[in-house]
Amino acid sequence: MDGKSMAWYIGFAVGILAVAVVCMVVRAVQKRRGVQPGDYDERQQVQRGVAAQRAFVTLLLLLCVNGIVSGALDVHWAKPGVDSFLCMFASVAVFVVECIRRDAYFTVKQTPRSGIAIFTVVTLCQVPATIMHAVDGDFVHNGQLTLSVINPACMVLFAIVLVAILIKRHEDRQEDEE
Amino acid sequence: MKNLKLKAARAGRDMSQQQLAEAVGVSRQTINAIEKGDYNPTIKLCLAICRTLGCTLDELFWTEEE
Repeated sequence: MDGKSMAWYIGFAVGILAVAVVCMVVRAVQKRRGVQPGDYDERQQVQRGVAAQRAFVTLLLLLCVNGIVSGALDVHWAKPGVDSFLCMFASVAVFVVECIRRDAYFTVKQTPRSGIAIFTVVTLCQVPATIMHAVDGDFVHNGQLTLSVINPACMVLFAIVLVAILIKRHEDRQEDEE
Repeated sequence: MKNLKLKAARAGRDMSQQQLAEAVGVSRQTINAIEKGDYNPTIKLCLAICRTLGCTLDELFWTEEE
């Protein structure tokens, strides 16, 4: 394993650790406020089910297309594993955006404000790594996307979620005024 | 089909959607969806709304067949 790969795996481990710490902090805050993790009302649970269905179908379609492109057409557009990660990101994006659109992302007691803060921080955290990889020209190797695209993909995913929350919040405010 | 009876009963008690939502333990958007006819609540939620607004199920949720 070369130094660059080692740095990537350490970065990945640190990233997972950071997510775990953020989740624990959020849960501690929720506990203090008396918010249960699954505190969704009956309509929200139904809507989350619909969102999960759509995300699942999206994942199936993307994996099928990817399988046909790489298996049957022999076009390898990304390194092994990277393609699956990107398909998962797209699926997660569909789930979260659908939940937000259907007012089923935040629990009854949560406010979008905490979500906006967290997603802004996570999006901004990806910027330095993305710039570093862009400067090094790491994104493509031998005509295939490398693991380095995970950072910009994460950034895009969280930016999409952030924009979806802001749009929904704006729509809700307009609805309140009416 | 819009549930105007629920909207009228809520407005009659000078309650906002948010206040009713908090009283019955759901989100404001859920009350809005019920009033707009976009969501059919379960009997459990119907009962909670009726108890909060001091109405019967018939008064708020019964619809005559056309």
